[in-house]
Amino acid sequence: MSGSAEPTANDAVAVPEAGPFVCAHCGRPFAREAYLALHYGVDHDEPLDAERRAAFETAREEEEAALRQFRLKALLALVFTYFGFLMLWAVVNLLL
Amino acid sequence: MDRLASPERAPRVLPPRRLLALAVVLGVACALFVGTALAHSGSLGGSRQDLSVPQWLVLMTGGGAVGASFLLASFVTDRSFLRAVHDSERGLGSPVRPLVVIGRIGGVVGLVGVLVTGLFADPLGLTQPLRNLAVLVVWVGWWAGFSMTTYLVGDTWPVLNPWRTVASVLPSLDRSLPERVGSWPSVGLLLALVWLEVVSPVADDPTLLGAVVLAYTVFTVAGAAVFGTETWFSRVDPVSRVFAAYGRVAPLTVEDGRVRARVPGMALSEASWLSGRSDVAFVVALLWVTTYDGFVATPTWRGVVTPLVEAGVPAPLLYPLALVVGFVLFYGAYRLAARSGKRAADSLLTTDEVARRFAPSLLAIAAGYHVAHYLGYFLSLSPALLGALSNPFSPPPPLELVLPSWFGGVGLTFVLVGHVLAIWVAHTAAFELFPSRVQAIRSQYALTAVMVLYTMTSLLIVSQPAIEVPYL
Repeated sequence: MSGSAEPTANDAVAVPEAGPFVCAHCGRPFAREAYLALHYGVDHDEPLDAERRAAFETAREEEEAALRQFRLKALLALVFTYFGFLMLWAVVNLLL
Repeated sequence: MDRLASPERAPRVLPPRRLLALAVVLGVACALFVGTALAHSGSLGGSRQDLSVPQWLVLMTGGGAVGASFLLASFVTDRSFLRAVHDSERGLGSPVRPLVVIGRIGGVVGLVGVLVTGLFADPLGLTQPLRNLAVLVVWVGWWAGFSMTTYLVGDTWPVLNPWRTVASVLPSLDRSLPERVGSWPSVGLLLALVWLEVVSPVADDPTLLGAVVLAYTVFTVAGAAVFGTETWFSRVDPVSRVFAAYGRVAPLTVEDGRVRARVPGMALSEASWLSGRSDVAFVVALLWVTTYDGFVATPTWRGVVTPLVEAGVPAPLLYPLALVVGFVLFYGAYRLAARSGKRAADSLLTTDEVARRFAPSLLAIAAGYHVAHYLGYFLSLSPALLGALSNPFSPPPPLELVLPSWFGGVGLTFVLVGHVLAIWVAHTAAFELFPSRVQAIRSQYALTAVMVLYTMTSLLIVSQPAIEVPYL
């Protein structure tokens, strides 16, 4: 894993001194605190201390909420794609 | 960083729901495939009924199927499930030593056979391409047939490769190839090889083919002698590298001298075998040359070049130009997708790293397209190949297998299967790369768009009749 930190345009970070958040185990930087919290829980075998576990769980809940929202949009897009094509094929067959 | 900590071990999604999600993915994808395949057979056969589907609709539906498979894949967000699917492997024991020896001898005998029947085609009276062993073995047996086995079964080329066998018994100078050269030479050589295949009459002229194979033999053996067989065949020789890359798709692989079986294509979520920009460029080049090979034999290409040739541009210049421009476009589009994916995921990884991690997924597309392009060719000419193999010096009159009209639909199906596999593999790679699942999904937007465009390009080529390559 290359540990190169590139400056990002996105600064949606709550901390005032918004530097990238760096993993204490592998040195990988993250643009958001939540990503680092998830990284500790997902990518490392080291047991989480109470603070990191709490951060992980908060980040996890927010992630779930965002995923639920995404799934709704994806479902909508699927329905549109499927019926869009169904209509398109019907119309084309009708005209030809 | 691919291990799993305790919170993930209690997945929130129940197993039946996971299975249901997968079933929905497969079901919808199949429904869409069938629709497209039927469309194609309808337009090819014509006689089935008066249903002729316009080409744009076939292209759109193909692109739509790939886009929809991204949406469906995004419902599968359970890391442990993804890992279970991709990491299931089982050992099958070691390859039998005598088999390896037989393979090596077979490879060398094949090379000698090609050289003899190619170079001495005139004195032997074997000038008719479809009765010439060299032409049939190289194009039908090896370029089409053997290539298919490397991704459908496993990469056996390190054993069969006659040049490696020859070079391994010769002394080597073991000069080192500078690190910064990477594998760029293989990218250039691959493009050059395909250019030669397309523009020269090497496919029909046994003597010329023999000369090209001889030149390649001298070049490869000399290169391997200077730089050592390992360096040469893993970093420079384009043929070995193509088969090694295709071998990543295959269900069988060799690890530490043992044969292992895995789910086809699932190893593509892992990119540790690619290092740096030149390896990514090679994968993109492989994808592009497979496309180019088909593209120059379409009416679309004839339509593009005709005004240019009439305006006085020399045709021999147009072919290498299109080859290089197309490669730059493909590589540029892929890098742009990686960069945009990195931005969308708000990741601090370098664009190079993101590009490297997703590059293997392109191999599923290349393999799918390769089947679409060569399966019909291989099957229809395999009786001629068998004839020439049974009696190399006085082959029987060539037979050609006539394929049914629905066979065109098989090609379209393989193009789509390759793309859907690529979407799935990139999805898994994203989940391994990014700690947040939302990040992983967002990183795929641009890549999916590129894949949709690419599906449509491939379908555009596969759905057209192959014509003689114009102006050569």
